Amino acid sequence: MSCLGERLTALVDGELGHEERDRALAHLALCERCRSEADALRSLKGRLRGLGGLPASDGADDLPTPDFMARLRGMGAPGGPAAGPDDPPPPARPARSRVPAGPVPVRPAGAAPRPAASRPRDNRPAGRAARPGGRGAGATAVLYRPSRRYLAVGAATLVLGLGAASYAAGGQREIPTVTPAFDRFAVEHALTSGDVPMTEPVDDRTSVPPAPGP
Amino acid sequence: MLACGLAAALALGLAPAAESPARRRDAGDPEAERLLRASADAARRVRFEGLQSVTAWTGTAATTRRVRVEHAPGDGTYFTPEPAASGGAAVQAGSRSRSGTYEPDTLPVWSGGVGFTAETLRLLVRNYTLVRRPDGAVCGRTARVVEARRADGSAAGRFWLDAETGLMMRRELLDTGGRRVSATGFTEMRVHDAAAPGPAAAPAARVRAAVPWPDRLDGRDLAALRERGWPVPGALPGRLALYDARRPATGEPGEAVHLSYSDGLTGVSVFVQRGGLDESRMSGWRRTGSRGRTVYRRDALEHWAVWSRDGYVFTVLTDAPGGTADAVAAALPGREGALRARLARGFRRLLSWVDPTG
Repeated sequence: MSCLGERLTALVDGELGHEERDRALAHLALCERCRSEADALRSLKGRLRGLGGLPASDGADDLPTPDFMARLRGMGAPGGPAAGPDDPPPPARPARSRVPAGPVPVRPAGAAPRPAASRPRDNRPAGRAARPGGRGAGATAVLYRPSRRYLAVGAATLVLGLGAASYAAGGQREIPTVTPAFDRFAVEHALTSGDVPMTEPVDDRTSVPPAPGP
Repeated sequence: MLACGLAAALALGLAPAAESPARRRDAGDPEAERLLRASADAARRVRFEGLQSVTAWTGTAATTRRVRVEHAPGDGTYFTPEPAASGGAAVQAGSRSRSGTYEPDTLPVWSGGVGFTAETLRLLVRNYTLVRRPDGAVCGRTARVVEARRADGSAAGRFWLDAETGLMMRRELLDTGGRRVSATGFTEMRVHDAAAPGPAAAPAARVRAAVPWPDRLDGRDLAALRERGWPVPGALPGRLALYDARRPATGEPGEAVHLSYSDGLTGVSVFVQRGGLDESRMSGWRRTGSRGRTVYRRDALEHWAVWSRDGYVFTVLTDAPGGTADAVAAALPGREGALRARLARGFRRLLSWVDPTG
């Protein structure tokens, strides 16, 4: 966790005042952890920008609907197009239009930091997901991607391991040998199929006179 | 062997038909169906006695068993094996034992002894077209003749029903070439007044009551068995549908399940037991192979196939030609079922290891 807290995101977004910005930069020069986190945030911001600038393909069918794209872009900004049910609907954007990256939401300076990996991915609209002063849903979605991979790999390993263990444990142990009760089975078969319930074995084959025809 | 089995099953008309059952039923004769349904009632209502024969053909050879049958309404049916005729007669009978068998009328399954029940009638109507044929004669009595036809119009089975009483007097199964593969029916028959005294049954000490296993399994029971890894298919190749499932009463040794399948004409019983087959007791049986496993076969009036796989012993018994038993042996259990059963078994073992109360 950064020593600067929410000021780090404000720094990346260019929202700090001149004096506070200088102090933050001076801290970054000394603190490698905050510096790397600032780099990560800048990288994330760049990727969000790139998302808005993706060129449309030749086929219009390859793109999601404009409404979906607008909601996706808005996830990175509080109060975006999908901010809430009471907000006005977002204006339709042309498929090729570039979307300026929205400001990454910031946490209040006094807010307690939250471990990013301890929460599930938040798919709610930004207006619902982002509490006042909370981190934007778009940012969390990207940050949690590695955790989801680990989860999937773990689940697959668990299933495969359990399956292999079950297969190995399911091998036949010493099983008793049985001899079918043929006489009893013959009676059972006759009773349920409507035949004569006799059990005498018949071994020989002989010729018989023809049976009457219709 | 597998190819022969499947070919024989197809020859019996066990392969799925292209025409829908509903369409085939529409083309049938309602009177034919009514006659068959009435025979179930007649088998309980009519007092009769006679000599019944069961014959199975394999090529030009045939095997026959004769049984004396006496039925008393409200009581039951007595079956007594008929000894072989003397002087090198053409019939081989079940003469090793003269002890009779008694089948009470109160049984939940109706028989009549000619290989036909209310359940198989339901499947027959679903899978075949029933039509009337010109009347015939059996034992000197006029008989209505009903024919069950496949989707291609060929005859798969014929039934002779007594014109006076409605009793089923004879049943034949035919292959696609029109050749008989089995026949069950009366060669002698007398019908008595229902109020007349009952048949002179054999002494009680020599008559064994034949009753099926009492624990009939419903859909929930079958689902529980499948959950435990038991191979209990709802259908088998050739439109053979599961119509009855039972197991012995609690306390009987061994754990077994009897699964009854039919397409309306052919009955197939599959007995599943947990364990491995004691092959040392299978002397006298013919060893065959199917899907990499040893299948013990025996063909007489009925066709048997016995094998073990994945911790279960399967015993197939059918009155259809041997090809049907081979086809069933090839289908049980499926590879997917075996894998699923092993995984389920292993998972239960793992759970039992980690469960301190298990």
